[in-house]
Amino acid sequence: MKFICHTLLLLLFSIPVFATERMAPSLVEQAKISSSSAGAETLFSVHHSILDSRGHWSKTSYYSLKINDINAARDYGRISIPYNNYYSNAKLEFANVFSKDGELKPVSEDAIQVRSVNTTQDFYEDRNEIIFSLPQVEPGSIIEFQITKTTKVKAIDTVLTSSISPYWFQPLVAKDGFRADAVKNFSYQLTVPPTIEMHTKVYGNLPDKPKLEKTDSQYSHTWKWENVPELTIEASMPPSYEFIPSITSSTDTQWEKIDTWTWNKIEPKLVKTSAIDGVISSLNIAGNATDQDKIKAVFAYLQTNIRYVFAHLGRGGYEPHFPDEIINDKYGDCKDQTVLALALFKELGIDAYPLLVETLRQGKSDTSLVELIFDHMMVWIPATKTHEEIWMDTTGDYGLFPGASAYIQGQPAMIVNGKGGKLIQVNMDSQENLAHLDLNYTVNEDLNIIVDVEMLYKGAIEQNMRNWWQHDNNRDTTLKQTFTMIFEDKGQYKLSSEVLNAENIYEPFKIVGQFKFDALKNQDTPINLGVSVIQLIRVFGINSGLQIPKTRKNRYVTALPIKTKLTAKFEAPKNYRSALIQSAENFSRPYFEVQQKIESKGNIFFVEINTHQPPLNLSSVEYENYYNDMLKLGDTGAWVVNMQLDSDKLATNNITQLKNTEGENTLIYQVSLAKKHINSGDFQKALPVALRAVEIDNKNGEAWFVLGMAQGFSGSIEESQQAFENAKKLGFVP
Amino acid sequence: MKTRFIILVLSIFLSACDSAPTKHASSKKINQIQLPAKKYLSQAKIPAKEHLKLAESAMARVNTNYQLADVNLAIFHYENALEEHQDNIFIQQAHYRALFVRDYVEHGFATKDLQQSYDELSWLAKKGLNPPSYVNFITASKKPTSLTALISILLDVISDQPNNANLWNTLSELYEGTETYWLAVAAAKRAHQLDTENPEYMYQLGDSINDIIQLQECNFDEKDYAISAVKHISKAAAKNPIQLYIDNTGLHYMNLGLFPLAYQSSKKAYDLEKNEWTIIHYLEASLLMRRYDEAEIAANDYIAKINKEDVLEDLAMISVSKNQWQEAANYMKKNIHSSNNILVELRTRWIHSLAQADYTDKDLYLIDSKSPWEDSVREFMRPLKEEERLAYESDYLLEKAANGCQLTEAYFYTAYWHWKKNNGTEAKRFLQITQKQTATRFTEYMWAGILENKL
Repeated sequence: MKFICHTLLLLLFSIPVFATERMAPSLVEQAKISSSSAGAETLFSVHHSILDSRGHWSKTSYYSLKINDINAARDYGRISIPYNNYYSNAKLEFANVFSKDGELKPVSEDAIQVRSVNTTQDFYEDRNEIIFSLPQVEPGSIIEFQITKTTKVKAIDTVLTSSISPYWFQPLVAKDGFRADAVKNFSYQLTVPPTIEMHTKVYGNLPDKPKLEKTDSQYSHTWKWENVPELTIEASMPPSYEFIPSITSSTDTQWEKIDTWTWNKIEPKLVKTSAIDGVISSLNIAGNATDQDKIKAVFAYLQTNIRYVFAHLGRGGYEPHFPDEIINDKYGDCKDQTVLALALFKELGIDAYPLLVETLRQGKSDTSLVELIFDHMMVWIPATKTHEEIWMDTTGDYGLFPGASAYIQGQPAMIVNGKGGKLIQVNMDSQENLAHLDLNYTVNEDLNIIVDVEMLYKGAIEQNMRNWWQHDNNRDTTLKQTFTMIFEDKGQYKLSSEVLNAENIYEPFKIVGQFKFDALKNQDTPINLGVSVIQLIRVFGINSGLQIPKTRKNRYVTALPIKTKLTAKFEAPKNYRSALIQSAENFSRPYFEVQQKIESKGNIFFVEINTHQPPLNLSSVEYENYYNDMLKLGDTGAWVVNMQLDSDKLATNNITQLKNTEGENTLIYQVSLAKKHINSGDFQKALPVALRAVEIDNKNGEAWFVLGMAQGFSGSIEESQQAFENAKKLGFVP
Repeated sequence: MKTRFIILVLSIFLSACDSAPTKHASSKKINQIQLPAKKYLSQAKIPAKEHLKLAESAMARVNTNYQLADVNLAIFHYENALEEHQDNIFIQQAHYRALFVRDYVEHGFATKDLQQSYDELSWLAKKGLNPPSYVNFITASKKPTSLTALISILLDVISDQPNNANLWNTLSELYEGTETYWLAVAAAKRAHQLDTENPEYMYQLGDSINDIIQLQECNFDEKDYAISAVKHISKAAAKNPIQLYIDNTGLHYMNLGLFPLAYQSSKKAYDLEKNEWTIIHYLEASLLMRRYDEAEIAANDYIAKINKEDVLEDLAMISVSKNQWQEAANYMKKNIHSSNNILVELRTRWIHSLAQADYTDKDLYLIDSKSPWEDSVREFMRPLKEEERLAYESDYLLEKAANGCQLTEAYFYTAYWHWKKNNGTEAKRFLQITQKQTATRFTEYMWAGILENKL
């Protein structure tokens, strides 16, 4: 997600005052410890964080892991220790492997590298990593390494924090997640000067009382845990503090210092300059423009003129550029774009503030202790008499005004105002996450069934779709595949499709298309047309690829409510009748609801299907029920509308037309009228008409045949035989 | 967005035709309605699908036992299913059918409740159903009722529901039963119009037209009607390739002189089922296609399954095709024993002459003539004194022939006439002309094809 502004969290600040010693037993000793965990097990996870009186940290961590199977051996083939070299130093103290044959081997010097981390496009920052590979990593071996990180420069002077968890989070070799193996022995020692008061919070159901040792120069708190179970990391999990055991310490519980720190970086830059005036002038804002007009104008300016670039080499990543620099460079990151927007708003008289946000990528932190949790900045504009509050974010790729990602809903955020700020949870009430599929069924004169399709989106789904279209190299194929989820492609239709508003920041992204089905054999062919909730679910990929319940370990949590809607109109062609032949059921569960209805107006049917999934927080049992219920959605059935040629109506129309064009006293009219009466079961009514037809032309075989029918069905069998014989003699063939 | 597929509900709608109950209740004992026990009712609400299953299983029992209790149980469950699916046309129809059966079993006539239920149905639901008055028809049909009376009742039913193809088809069958074939055609035509895809209705129409053909003196002269008949019957066979439809398709192709098509259909029908008709049609088609080995197989099948007498002359033809003249003569001799007929006598004489086998001619005037036409043939072929023989010209029979059937025979016996006058060239020419005539399934036509190459 390009728009997310990267920051550095949990930095370990210290200076290398002294050489660290080994913090765990020798590997020879550790090899005697039995390990029954499948995969791998962390035998020792030992940490010592020392804070000096200047507020600098020295944090040393030791990990030893017993490798128990080949998958673990593959995953632990390479270890990476990331750090920010602007703020800290990092040193690999040692790394060894104790082979299954009992041989101790250190990491080879030519298998250690310190290098810059390649981040995403347009990111320029001081991120480094120490990477190394140990020899003979195989089932039965034990690996160990010890690292020390020390503070070079403090990001914030006023707040000191430290956080540790027992786990070593190792990326899976397939790069599709992390493993966090069980920990047999965990130990964490926090050493601080007596002059600095630290607040500490322990997360998880583990002993939270530390062993306290005091001297004149330092206080030490030590936590020791044993047999911390393996952590399974899955999609859609609760906030990490709810399921990862950890210990967090901070000097603060109130967030004013973060407000002050941020405000001091921004406020001095909100000054009037000629460049700012130039931009305002270029906005061509009318004299009677409303606040909302002005806000939209600034949004449009930033969207189209300021590219997202995170340029912070040698700057630490927290200091925004000056507006003039941004205007001149035509690029800037989230802080930069916020600063420029605020400078423009200030000139335009709009009351607006920086908003610090912890994005979903960062997680969702507990805010009872103050930490640098925020990784994004945008603009918050309070509500006025003329508009609601506005959450404006210009960092997305042509995001729909006002640009804020729907995924920040409910995330921790802070409105920065230099007056203590306000810690909040993002609450964009007006954001509805909706995908709407509209189908319009008609039949053209050539008897092709035509289905016009519109897919409309709102909220997070709109943003996802727009993002997909802008970044999928294979988007045309994907687009076609989307349509085949409405109607399976068996070669029975031609499809045209188009994407609208992909680059329009004021209109929702939209997909339109048309299915043209092969022509029906003839007018007599009845047509069954249907829609079902399954089309809706599949076309929008709602809940596709759900994890199977038996593998689910954690609670299943989704942050956003999702709505989908299907509207369908079935319009029968001229001279057709339509009727509903099958209806679908509603489906109501605490975690998923389907409401369906149909209405008719004359020969037109309107179906509406709505689904709603609230934010979920499900136990494994509830998840299994949810999963199974999603599989049953198909049982809700389909709406099926039948259309058939209305032969009675058609016949009546034809008769009327004949009367008008040919005249009442014509053979063709009388024969047709007699046939219509017979077909309607009005045999007596048919008789005089058929007689009249024969009177008009007694050399017409069909007239005699129709008379024979009218007579015969009225009970005059003998007369009818004669009429039929006459018909035959005159060459009539039935 | 991952690719998955959804099936388009876009299909041809085939309206389910009502099938009338075919069995009357075997017992007069009618059970009282047996609703589910209270305990059952007090349990959690039963889903509609479960109600449907229970209703369908009750109706399945009704089809065999006609117990009113099961009918009422089915109605109970359908009504419950309808509470959730009021718009489902199939449940509406099933519910109506159950009410229909209840009236039939309990009363033998349509009640107001049934009529009301029918009136509340949509036009489409009604289209696939029999109207309430059909109860009266079924009741009458299970009692000793004349076909004419049944027709009268059914016409009233049709007036109530004129768009029900099944009713019109039933009417056609009843007219067929009363031998009012033209009305059978008219009714079948309407059934076919209402349901153009139904093979049963296609066949009934073709078969009814064939009945008209059979009313004519020489049905081979009714080409237009034969074409119309085979058009419908062959379509029925294509839709539903059962032996009856395919065999009749072959027969009509044979009548029309379309021998390769006739052979193809006849063989297919024969392969599907070997009965009196399929064997004889396959035998005839094989002879007409000069596939004598297959004709012999069919003839032997016929002998094994039916009798030998019917195929003696066919066996004679097969023998001639193999130049086994003596054997052919023997078959003809056996044939004349069982068939005392002027025309057979003449053919027997000719084959014996060609075989140079002994045969004592029967006096043609001692054989009963069955028609003036046979009188003419006898007159033409009688043993004449030389001076009397001169009195007849060779086109005597041709001039007497009044239709295609007689003309086919006329050419054949004129060929014999020439042969008897030792004019082999003329005999051969007349045999060739015989094969251009319309009565393709006449024995004379078949013999002409065989003898032409043997003279």
